[in-house]
Amino acid sequence: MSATIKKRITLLFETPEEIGKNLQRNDTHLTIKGDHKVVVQTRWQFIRGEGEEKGGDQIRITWKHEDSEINAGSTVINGYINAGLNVYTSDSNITSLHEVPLIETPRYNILHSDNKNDIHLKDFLTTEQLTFVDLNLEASQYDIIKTSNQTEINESWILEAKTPFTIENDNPQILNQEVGLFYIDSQDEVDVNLSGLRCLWENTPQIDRCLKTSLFFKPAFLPPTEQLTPIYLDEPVGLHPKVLVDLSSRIDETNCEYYLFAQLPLEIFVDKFQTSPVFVFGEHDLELPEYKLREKAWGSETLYQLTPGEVNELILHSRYLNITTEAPSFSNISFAPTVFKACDKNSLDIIKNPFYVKSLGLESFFTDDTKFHLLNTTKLTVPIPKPGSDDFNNVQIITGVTILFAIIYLIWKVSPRKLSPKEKKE
Amino acid sequence: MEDNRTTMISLSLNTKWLIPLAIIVRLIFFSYGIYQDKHFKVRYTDIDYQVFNDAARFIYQYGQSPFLRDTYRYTPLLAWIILPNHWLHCYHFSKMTFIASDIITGILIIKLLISCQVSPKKANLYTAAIWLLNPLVITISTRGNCETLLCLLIITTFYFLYRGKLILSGSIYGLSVHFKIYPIIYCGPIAIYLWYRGGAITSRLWNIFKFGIISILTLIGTTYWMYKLYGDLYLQEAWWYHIIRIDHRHNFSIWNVLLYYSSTIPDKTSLATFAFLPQVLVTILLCGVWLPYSVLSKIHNNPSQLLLKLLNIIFIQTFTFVAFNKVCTSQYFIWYIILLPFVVANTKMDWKWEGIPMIVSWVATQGLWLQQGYNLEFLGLNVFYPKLLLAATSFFLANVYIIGQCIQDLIV
Repeated sequence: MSATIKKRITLLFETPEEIGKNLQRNDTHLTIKGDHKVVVQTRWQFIRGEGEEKGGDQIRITWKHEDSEINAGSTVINGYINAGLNVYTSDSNITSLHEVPLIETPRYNILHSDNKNDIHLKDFLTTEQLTFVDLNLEASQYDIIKTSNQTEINESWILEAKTPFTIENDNPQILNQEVGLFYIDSQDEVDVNLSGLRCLWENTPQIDRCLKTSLFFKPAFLPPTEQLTPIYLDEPVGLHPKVLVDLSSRIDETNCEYYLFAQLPLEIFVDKFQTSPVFVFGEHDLELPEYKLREKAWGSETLYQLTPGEVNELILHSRYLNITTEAPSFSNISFAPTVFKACDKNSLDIIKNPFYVKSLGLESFFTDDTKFHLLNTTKLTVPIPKPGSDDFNNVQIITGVTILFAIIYLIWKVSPRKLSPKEKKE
Repeated sequence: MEDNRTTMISLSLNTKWLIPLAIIVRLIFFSYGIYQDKHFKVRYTDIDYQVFNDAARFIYQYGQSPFLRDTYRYTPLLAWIILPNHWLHCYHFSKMTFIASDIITGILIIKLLISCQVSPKKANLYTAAIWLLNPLVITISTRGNCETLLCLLIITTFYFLYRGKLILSGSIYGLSVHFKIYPIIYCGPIAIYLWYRGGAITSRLWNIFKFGIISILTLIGTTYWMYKLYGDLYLQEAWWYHIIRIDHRHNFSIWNVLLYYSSTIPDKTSLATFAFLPQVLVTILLCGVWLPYSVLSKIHNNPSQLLLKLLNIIFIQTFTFVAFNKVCTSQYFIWYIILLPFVVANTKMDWKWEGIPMIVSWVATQGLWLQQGYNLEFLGLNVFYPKLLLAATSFFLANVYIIGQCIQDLIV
């Protein structure tokens, strides 16, 4: 039985004038050519069976390219996504996916991949779904939620200025298609008001109707302002990278706390006894090198509480790496910590809005009424030295010869021998 | 009797300023440590003290195993000793225990030196310079490092051994091996010492047997007791870990760079597989059997000389053990520093032409290594080969040179 498929495209413009000026419309097509960057969110829903399932296990799959402009896609119509591929499952019995062990947390089990292993987003979609969704891992971010009877795929990307974008409904399998062209009419920390135009296709190539629309919703995530909170590494980095988060311009607020969340690759780890994180899940062995732990975990997830009004200092540690077959070199190990302010709102109307829902992920460690003010996400790179295998024989020879010399020297020293005149005198 | 009384009077006269001074200096360091911990980001307190304290908390709060604390790899007895921190709600309290053991060790060193017929004045001087007023030793105890407890056990072993209290001495020796495995290397020299102490053959054999059986029973008894309380995790963390340990992270050991390289190629047999052999050869056979035999067998009817030579042998053996070990960090140095006063008391070396070159070579090569360690750890430079290896090699060779000089000094 094939699934019922619905499609929705949302375009977020900067001003209402941009919509009017850059939208071309005929009976079947909409063509947009923006003046500025336009945020595009496309949602596919693949529904099997009747109705929306309540409860049951859920899988959430997210993707964001680690080199993308991390803050660029963060707008009022997108929630929070970590860089890389993340597969969350609420089923605690699932402990590995594609032979990669998951990290277990009290809320979910998670697989994280940053392209070092052969796991890709497409591995988690069906052939049918892939005929509709043309994955673009470089330019788009994805947020996919799977339940037993429904898969919802959200794709977000930036439509560059002057680039034409045509929308039509030429696939008869799509039951209906909806397109919203919005601008932010008003926005504060509580409400977002989007206004614009909404067009519908009802299972035909013809546009059924276009209507002026206005909608209000309460966002759970507020994107960073232009004044990003500085996150940087203390120089020189060394083997104990020190992450500095400058919150000196922030003040303590009632019902709000500041945090840093990071997914750390295996090469970097937290000493939970040294820096007291709120939590660290995953690999936190304090001694073993990276190559001894590969079979056990992909890394770790950690959350630190930060103090406003000062520069916060978090000391991490790097593991020893496998030797390289080439000359001695460095591995540049990256991770992208996110700093945010979490505030209790005493209201549950922020759990869900037309564009995203709170789901498995960072938000699941907080109460449902928590609003997240994203302050910055910055990619940090730690160069870790690794020796070259060409030197292995030299290391053996130098060590062996030195030890041999030492043994011979000490045997000579303890062996009975004739005393020198000086020794006799003594 | 008269001699003993005179000795005790001299000791009290000379130590009346030394011991209080040693205590005062430690209290100053201790107080400063609390201040630094409170006001500076870099803490004075040793990271291991935090481990002991956390391990003791598991016992105190939850009645659980101290091994639930990651990286706690010591006897649970140590965590028990730290329990007053939690009873009194005073994090720094157990440092006082370490300081007290440090001071008592100093007093026993002085007494042992006097037993070796070193004048009280010289005994005080050597102990003050090397132990009681040595900034390295003071820092170790006041930062909360437990090595001073082990040092107290070792020195007490020899104190009672000399006085012929073999049951007490053997018990403390067994406890010291339970506390940390390495003192087991002393069993050879101690047995040879007991043999050459004199007496009838049956009496000698009985003394060796008595010391041995008491040591073994104490070791097995305490270990079994801890095993019954804390199970396999105790054996895994406090015993097997130390025996099979391969420390990949940089340390002073000559083996370290090779061990790192070798661990990345698990299928390939390398020299590192046999790293224990030179240590066994040099520490057990050469310095644990041959050296004590060749030195102690020449001493007749002179208990003081026998004790002094034994402590010199123990110094050389410990120095060798540390130099050839697969892991070597600066806290290991205290294992032989405690015995250094007996070397100074015994030496016939010329300070200017032999002593100073030894000290300079030890300090300079260690400085060379520390520079490379800093380059790697804090600057992130890729110095594994050749710089770190050559620095470790030079420090090792300096150690071997010092060991050779000490052996020569002892046997001529």
